[in-house]
Amino acid sequence: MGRKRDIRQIEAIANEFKMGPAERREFGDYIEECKRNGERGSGPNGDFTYGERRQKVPEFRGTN
Amino acid sequence: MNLLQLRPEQHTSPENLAGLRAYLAQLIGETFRFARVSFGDELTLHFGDLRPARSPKLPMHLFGAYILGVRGSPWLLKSGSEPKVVSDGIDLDCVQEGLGQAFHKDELEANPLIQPESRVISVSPFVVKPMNGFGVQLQFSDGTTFHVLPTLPEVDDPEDEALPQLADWEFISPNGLLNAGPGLNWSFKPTALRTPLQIDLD
Repeated sequence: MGRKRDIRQIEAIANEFKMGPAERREFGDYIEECKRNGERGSGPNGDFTYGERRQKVPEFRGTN
Repeated sequence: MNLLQLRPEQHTSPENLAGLRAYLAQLIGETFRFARVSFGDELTLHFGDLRPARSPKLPMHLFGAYILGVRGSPWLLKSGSEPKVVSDGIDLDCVQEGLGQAFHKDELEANPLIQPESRVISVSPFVVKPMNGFGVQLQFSDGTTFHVLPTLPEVDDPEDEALPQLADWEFISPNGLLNAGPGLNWSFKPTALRTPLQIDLD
């Protein structure tokens, strides 16, 4: 199931960057917000790839 | 110096359905705030006091003190105030008659079909035996019911094997994170205390 895979990828990124549940939840909403705002990734159907999602952590945290 | 551990992490067996119910009981009486579809088409329901996002990139976003996330699992919402039913991952063509008019899930954020200020009056986890997993039912004071069902187990694609396993649903509260599934397992991880209670004996 593709949706589960997407959520699992967010979980993996959250684990890597040591996010707690609340921050991980915000990060998922942020990636969704980027999509809704028209940002496109280089994956199929304009989806963000795993690497692109991972690269969004610093901007999400305001540390870039 | 001693450190008191007040909220130990819990990993429990399927026999402890009562324990799971006890953790979820903190949601009873909380006010429904809104529904939001997060990344991966994941429906989240927010309850209780609202707080702003901590990320500077989400200035308009609010979050409930209590959040139920379906983690991509099937769910079904039957409105208590309108003859409407909305679901994801459940084929309503087979069961629609008598349930009410089907409602598209994309409309749910604008009209969650749960009356504003409705309160949670019961939270009941249950075992879905054919799927060997936990479901949960919420009942609201306006008569709405919400069910989450566990996800059917699937074999991972090779590239997904390194990804972490996902719960069938989760419940975030000020006290910690409750994960139900996969399978007949649940766990509770308490929120890390920013300033642990310490007793200095000196």
